[in-house]
Amino acid sequence: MTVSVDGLVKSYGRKRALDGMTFHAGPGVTGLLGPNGAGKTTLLRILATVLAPDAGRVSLLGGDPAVAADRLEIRRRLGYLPQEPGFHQGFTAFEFVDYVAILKQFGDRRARHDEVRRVLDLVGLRDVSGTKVRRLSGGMRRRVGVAQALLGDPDLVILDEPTAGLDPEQRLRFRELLSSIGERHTVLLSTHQTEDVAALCTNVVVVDAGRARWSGVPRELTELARGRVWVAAERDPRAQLAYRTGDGTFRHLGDAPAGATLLDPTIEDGYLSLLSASVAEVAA
Amino acid sequence: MTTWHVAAADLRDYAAGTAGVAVAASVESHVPRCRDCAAALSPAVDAGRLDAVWAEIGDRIDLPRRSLLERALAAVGVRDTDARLLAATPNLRSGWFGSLTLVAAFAFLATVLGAGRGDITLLLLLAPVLPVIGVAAAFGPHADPTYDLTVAAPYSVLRLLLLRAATVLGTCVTVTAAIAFAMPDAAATTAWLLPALALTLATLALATWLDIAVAATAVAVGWAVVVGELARRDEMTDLNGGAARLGCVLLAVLAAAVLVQRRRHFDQEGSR
Amino acid sequence: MTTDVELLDAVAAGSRTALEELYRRHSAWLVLRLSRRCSDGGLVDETVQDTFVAVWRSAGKYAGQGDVGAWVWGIAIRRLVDALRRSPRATAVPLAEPRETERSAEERVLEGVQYGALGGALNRLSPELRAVVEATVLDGLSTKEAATLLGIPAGTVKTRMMRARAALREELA
Repeated sequence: MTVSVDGLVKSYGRKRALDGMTFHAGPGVTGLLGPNGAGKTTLLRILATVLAPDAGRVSLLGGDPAVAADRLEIRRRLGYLPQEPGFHQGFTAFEFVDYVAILKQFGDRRARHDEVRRVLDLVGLRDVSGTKVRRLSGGMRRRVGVAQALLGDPDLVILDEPTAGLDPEQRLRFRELLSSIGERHTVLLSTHQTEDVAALCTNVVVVDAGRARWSGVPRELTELARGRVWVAAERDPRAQLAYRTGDGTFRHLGDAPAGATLLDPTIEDGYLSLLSASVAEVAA
Repeated sequence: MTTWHVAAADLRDYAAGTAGVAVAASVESHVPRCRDCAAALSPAVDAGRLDAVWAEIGDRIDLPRRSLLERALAAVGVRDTDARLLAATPNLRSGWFGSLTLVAAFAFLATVLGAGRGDITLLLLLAPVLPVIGVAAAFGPHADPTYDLTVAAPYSVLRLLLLRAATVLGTCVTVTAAIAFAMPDAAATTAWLLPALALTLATLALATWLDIAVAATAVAVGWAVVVGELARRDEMTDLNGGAARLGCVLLAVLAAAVLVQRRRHFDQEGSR
Repeated sequence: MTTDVELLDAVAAGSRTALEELYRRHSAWLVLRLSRRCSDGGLVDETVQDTFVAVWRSAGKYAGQGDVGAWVWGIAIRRLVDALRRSPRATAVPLAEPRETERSAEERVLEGVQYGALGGALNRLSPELRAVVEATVLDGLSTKEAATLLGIPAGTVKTRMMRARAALREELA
């Protein structure tokens, strides 16, 4: 396993961001799916060696990030897109990625610049490499962030909300890119959208309240809701979750309401049935 | 597109540099307009040479002119990669330098206009604190938008912090020295220099325990108390005395030792 | 196939891919043509760089006058003159002597320009005079620019040009 996390705890003051997080990930694209505030960003910052946990064990690429020598080796083989990768104002896209490449200690200028061009090409930003970052659209900035995470073809790629701000066409290209990287390396990404998981991921870990609630392949997540998704003409108050759909019928999650028809579940149904407890809280 | 083309033999002569002026003129008037003939000339130029020129063109388009600071750093022998990292120091890019000059100029004015013995108090109060504030504004999760990326990279975080601190200190010292030398009081020209170094190092040392902004505030307040007390007792000139210098050197050495001992605390947030 | 003008429009809109395609089309002949005027390969490369950086920055200023290749050359030859001005030690090359006499220059019909007898006459000029004619007439440089390119005083350019004219007049009479 490239990534192994066991009993991770991290608190900020009295708030527990991580509360005994345990999961494993190997080659392929693993998605951390969970609502905002579930602890995904804290977890990814720890896995990117930026943050030290309060308790628990982490193993990355066979090393222990708490050990200085291991940490350096991990950092050499790691690509990381933070949730908010700050950009120095006034840098061009090329300058920004080049800046990170300097931090990553690529050899001479020529080789470094060639590598910067390669990753900008990968995310389809060759034409705007000389444009100032602050003049790029949100989706383009996100891709600049992804580009720097791919410098040096890292063995472990950690992406915090990589699809935020991408339009449908960009998502499609991003999916191709990720799947080709996932064939050889371990990619770990966070998202709060089930569509991302269905489209991008080979594995999924559902994160809630600082813990891993469930892990498996996306299809299994869908199957969790099999036999529990119904359509009926009226809202059933006993349902775990019920909402009006586009055609005026009511989609239910839970036990069969009177006169209802069973439906094939979607991945969102699976996710919602897992998180039903917290969803019920929100609905109340 | 034209149907007439330069004869292959003429193109060969031209590429070899042996064509006569009439052939050359004919080739030169035709080739810029003709894709086929231009393509036929291409093999005469080494592909590696053209690729190298293209890469340079890419660099010149992608990398705007280096800033004054970056060129100055390169001129004094700083490696170009280090110069780049330094030039990206957040506060140096965001007009912080301008504010610093303003504050220093204000201090100068106040001192010149202020009468009598209180002369250098303001300068001695501000000059050593400016680099402390500057260092705090140059590093850390609040100041550096790329902080997470910086920490996750294999580049030594402490090295980057020290490089930036040195740049900030150097900038402050240059500006303050220029102002101090114009001061009427000879003591003012040097008295602030050692405290500036000692306080900056003390800030870095404290930052291994505290957030760097908190550390800088603590150091600045401490210094204000010392200067205030000396001014109250009318003993400002003591700052230029042997005891004060020894004190500053001791503080600097102690802080440096703490910094070296606890350097790994910069390497990861929340490490204990 | 995309035309040069379309590529230049794309460059003006910020397309690096289009700039690269323009470079692939025009860099080789540019190197050869500049090399005939400057023996310093490094300076030639630098001039090609300058030229395409200028194309990138000023693609929007191309207003469809003449064809793109000629426009690029107009930038390049002036950049070369500028570069020579900065480093006066690099000298321009006198034209190489043709190894054999022109085989069929008289019969060659060029697009729009019939060199014919003029071609032969040019070939029989001395190398110094020929270089001056080439710089001023063919490259369209001013006396001052030609002087820098050839590394000789402007006055000499003028006197050589007069001698060249006289010689050509005599030849073609």
